[in-house]
Amino acid sequence: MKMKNLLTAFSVIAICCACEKEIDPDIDTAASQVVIEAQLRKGDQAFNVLISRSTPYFESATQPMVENATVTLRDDLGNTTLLAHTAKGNYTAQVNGTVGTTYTLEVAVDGTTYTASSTMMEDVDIVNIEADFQEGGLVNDDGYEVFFRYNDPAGARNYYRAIYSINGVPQLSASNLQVLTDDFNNGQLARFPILGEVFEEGQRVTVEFIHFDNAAFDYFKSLADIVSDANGFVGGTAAPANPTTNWSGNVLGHFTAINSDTMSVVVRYCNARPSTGNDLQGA
Amino acid sequence: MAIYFAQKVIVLMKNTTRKIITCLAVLVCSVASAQNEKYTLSGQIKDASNGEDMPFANVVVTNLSGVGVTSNEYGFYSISLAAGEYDISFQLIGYESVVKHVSLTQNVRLDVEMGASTQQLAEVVISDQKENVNVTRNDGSVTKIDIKAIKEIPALGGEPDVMKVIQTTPGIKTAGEGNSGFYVRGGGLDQNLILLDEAPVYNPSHLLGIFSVFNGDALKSTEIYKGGMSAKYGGRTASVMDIRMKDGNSKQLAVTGGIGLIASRVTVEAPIVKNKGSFMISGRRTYADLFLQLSNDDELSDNTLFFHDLNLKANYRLGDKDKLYLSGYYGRDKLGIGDQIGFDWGNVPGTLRWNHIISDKLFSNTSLILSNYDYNIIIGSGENKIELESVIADYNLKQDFTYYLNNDNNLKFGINAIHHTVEPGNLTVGPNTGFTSEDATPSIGVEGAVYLQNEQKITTRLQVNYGLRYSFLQRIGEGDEFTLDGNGNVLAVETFDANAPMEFMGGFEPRLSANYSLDEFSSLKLGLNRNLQYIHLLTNATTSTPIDTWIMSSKNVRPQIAEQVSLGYYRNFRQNTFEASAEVYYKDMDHVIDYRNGANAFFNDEIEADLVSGDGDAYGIEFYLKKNKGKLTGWVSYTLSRTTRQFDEINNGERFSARQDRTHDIAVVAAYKLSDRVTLSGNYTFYTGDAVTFPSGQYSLEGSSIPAYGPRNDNRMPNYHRMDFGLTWKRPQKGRFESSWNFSVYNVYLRENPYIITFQENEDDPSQNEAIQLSLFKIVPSVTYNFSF
Repeated sequence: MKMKNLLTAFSVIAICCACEKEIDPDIDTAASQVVIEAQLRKGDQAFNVLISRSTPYFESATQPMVENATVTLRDDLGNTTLLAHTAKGNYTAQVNGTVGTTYTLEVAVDGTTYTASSTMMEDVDIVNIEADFQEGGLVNDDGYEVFFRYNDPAGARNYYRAIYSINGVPQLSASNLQVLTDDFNNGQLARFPILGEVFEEGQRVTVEFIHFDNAAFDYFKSLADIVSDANGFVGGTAAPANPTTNWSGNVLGHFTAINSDTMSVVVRYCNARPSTGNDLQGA
Repeated sequence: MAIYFAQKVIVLMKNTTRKIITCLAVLVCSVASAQNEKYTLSGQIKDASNGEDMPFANVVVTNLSGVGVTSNEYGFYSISLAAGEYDISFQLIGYESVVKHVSLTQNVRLDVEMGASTQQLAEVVISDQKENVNVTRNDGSVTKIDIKAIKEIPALGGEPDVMKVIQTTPGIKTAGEGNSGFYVRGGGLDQNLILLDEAPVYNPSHLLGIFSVFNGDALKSTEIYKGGMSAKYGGRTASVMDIRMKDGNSKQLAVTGGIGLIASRVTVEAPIVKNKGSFMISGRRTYADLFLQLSNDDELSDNTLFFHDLNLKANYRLGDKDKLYLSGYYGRDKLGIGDQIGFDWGNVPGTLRWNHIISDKLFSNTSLILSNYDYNIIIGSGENKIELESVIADYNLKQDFTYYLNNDNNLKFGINAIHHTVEPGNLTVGPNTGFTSEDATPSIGVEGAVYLQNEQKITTRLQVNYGLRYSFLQRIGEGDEFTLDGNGNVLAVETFDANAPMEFMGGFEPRLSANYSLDEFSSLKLGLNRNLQYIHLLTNATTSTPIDTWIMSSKNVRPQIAEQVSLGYYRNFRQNTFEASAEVYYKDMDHVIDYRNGANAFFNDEIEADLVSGDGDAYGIEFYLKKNKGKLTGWVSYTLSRTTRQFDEINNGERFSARQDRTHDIAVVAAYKLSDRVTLSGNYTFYTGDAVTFPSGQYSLEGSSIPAYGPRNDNRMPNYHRMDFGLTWKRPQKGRFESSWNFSVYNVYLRENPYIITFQENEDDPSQNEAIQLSLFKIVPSVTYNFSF
């Protein structure tokens, strides 16, 4: 028995001797870069552009805002809208976002003009949203999985993002960034589970399902790769770099036209029956 | 009189024409003066103790200065001499020389068996020619590993590993802590052709690289060619690692084994029919998971983590002229977390080989080779099960000839055809997953080559090996060919039916290596090579994993090309007690592959669109000092080098350091014989940290802090260094039973070498970022018991 313990101890030493510590790597401070974040939504509503500058990685200093930019929105119908600076790097105008229109945003900062274009995609609505009880494993505890279904348009490749909130609190942390394509379910009734979260009874879960263009997908996909553990076994980026942006020039951030649908579910016990696999037996 | 003259001229012309035709036929312009009455002495050289074929043994005619040949990789030799009396000496390092007297009045077949030399003999015969073979042989840029000696070198977990030992030699750099992958002279991980009995091995790693797939007990020889490689090798641009398994003892039953803390292994060899055929079977398994199952903690005991592998080889001699070999390997790694996640992968290479002596000068080898690598990932179970399988499978036919034209010219020529199938992802899903089962279209191609190589002795001082290889890849449908714009967007897709010919590409690969002896103890060695590569590994740049994707060249992915020149000075000191060399190299690489910024390699259908093609260059100087004799033996190697890449799409087209650009790389390996029974050993490694990309700035997006990156590979990992100690204690021999204990300590001074550095928000203070370093092995003691009988 003692021998067994000894062998166990040795094998544990051999496998688990990995250790972590904080280090202070020698990194050159890069020049500050302009960051432009802009999301244009479908319908007649306020369109906001936020312009700031990046800061050194290990400094907790607040991000400086850019307040002297000229911001112009054009569309492929020939309309031009000038955005006004309201406060702290925010530029705003009332815009009516319409499906099928391609929008181009121009931002001039200190003599340099940056441009980006994005197309408003068609409606893809959530069909239903459900919660389903799942037994826990090593990765997850016992709890509920929330998933929704949508009818993917046939033909062209479609790109999506899902954002969810719990009891009205948006879960926007970087690790919750979820993007998807229709590569494996083109033109079908597709089912998408919210990944990486186990829900509890009584929680109200709201999903905003965003349909956007290829450039936006590339941006959020590469952003997700950067913010997830870059050294992860699966996923992570092959070559750490700034996200693939649709902005011209050396600038961070993105400009995205967004068409989304929202639906909620309250996680209840009656939702916990196993899903439809055995329906035919009862018939 | 006129008639006499006319006859003379005709004879002369006939002779001349014959000479010229011979010249052209063999591409050799210095045919030795045609002597009449030449006879051929040929045969097989074998190890006296176990009947193994002995490749690369020297066959020297002692009473003719400078006349000699070397046995080929199957132990066959052939030498042509005028009729007469000769003393022939057979020599190989580590073996007692055998001298045979031959009366040559006709063609003679002479098979020879050589016995291992004892230590005393080697020390007495100090002027023996074989000891300066490293200087006299035409093998610049070649590293040979003595398989018997690696057991005394301290190893991680006490598992002697040839892949770790080669990483301590100059110009060959480890891919990281406990990693089986390696970089040769600025090349990538996939640019090494790793052959196990001629079969390419696609993934040389077990347990993510902590062990290599090569079980030292099953191996006979290992050579690695960093440059100037023979034209018979092709398919990868940086190096060729040629590993041969033992044939199996053809004299008697022999058992070798080892019991360690992490793994155990056993090898059995025996004759099938004494002196006609033999087999060898060798198995290994790790058992960390068996201990996990002893744990009371369900979370631990439900997990699986192990590998097992099996080496098999059999050979049978069919008469004097034919010999058949069958060799194979099977290895599997399994990793499982409960019944939620299952992951397993493995290699299955196999070779069927037929050696045939066509005449006393012409030797033929025909090989039929299979190589298979696959992995499986299973997530969930029942109706929620998602299973992903990926396979790479090769069928490979090789025909090689060795023709001993005369004592100064040894011709090698042959053909090779490989049928590749790469299945990037076959998805099988349960009904409740919301996905559709689908197989991604496999890529198919035929890689072919023809080559001709001559090993020529021009003078007693100058030996030149030169050759030409032509290789090609013919892609075959079904499949899609993409037309891309400069930004990697797909403009058009052309679809091909099954078996329809797709893109074709090919090219010439000239090779040259030369050795010029300055005197008995020093020489200059030159190497030139051009290599093409048609199959490429896409790895997430940080670490290599079993799920790295292999892709074939296509319309958008051009074959990688490397051109290299190297020049070395080799010198032995103190009656060959010390071997020293200094070698410089310059390598130019074209169509090197890298990712577009932000690319994702995992399960990407249009991965070609995410790749960029550029060029690379590498140059450096390698120093090597080795002590062969005395109580203290070992070597010191130091490489000073630079490796860069350039892509129009990365870093605005500016040249940047490749990940493996390590300025300094030092290794010291030493063994000290305290007594006949006890050997103390140690090694030390230092290298400059890898070139990597760290975040240089940050900005806020949707309320999260996002890292901002500067140029590619603009930062450095901390320098790596480590020291290990080992002690081997031989137990007194009892009859045939020999045994020894090996104690080793990996990383004795508890250096925390970085494996991965993660940049993240501080958990307690999210406004502050921090860098966290993960180190794998702080100190790993181990004990192994080895035995043989």
